[in-house]
Amino acid sequence: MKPKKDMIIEFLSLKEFGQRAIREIKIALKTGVPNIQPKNVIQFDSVTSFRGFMTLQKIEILLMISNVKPKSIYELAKLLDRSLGAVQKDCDALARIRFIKLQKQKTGRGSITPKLAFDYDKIVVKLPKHPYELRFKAAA
Amino acid sequence: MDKAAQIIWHKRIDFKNGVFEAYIQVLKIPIRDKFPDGFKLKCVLVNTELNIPVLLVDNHEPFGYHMHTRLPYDKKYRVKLNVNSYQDAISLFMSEVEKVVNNET
Repeated sequence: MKPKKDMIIEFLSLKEFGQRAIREIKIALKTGVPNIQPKNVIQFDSVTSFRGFMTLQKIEILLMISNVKPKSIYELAKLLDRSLGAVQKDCDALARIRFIKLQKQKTGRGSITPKLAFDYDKIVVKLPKHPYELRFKAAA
Repeated sequence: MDKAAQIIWHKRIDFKNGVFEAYIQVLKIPIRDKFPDGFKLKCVLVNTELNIPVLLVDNHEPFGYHMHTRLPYDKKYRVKLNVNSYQDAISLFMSEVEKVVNNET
């Protein structure tokens, strides 16, 4: 069986994003080799921003979609014992950032089925490395 | 999109708790009057919560590098950018993104 791809969260500042774009576009234009963000990579500007977005309720939604696979947002709200409006709002936000996709059913009432953006079972948060140094002599 | 156009670079970044998103896209296209450099640059800042573009930089003639600053209401309003390269246009876009986002919150 093909191993599942992980959803990867990366962090880089807006400044770094711009600088990286300039570097990589130069290479892409020179070589003609496209450099397109894979669908399993989401970039945030900071851990704070990601944590502000990814609330516990949204994690529960992802867990429920992954494990129970509800057929509609209404069903998802029932499973989570939350209001439909609040779940709808969280699902919209998750879809905007591309954690999930919202598929309108062609049959029946045309309800919207929340699905993972692709078949992943793990979110890997690549925390930025902050070099940290404590000099005992200076501290003393 | 132009049939002969090829996306050569496309990446996006989310920030401010996922309320804003900036993406940069470069399309390689045949050299012609509208795109004498042979590529089309598109830098967009989107308020994803409201699903509206806020800032847009592109490079088509007769304007050259320019920025749309009154989106989404006035799509024809453009500010010509005093830059000569996509590198400078991207740098300027990213600094404007920081300004706009910090003013809005």
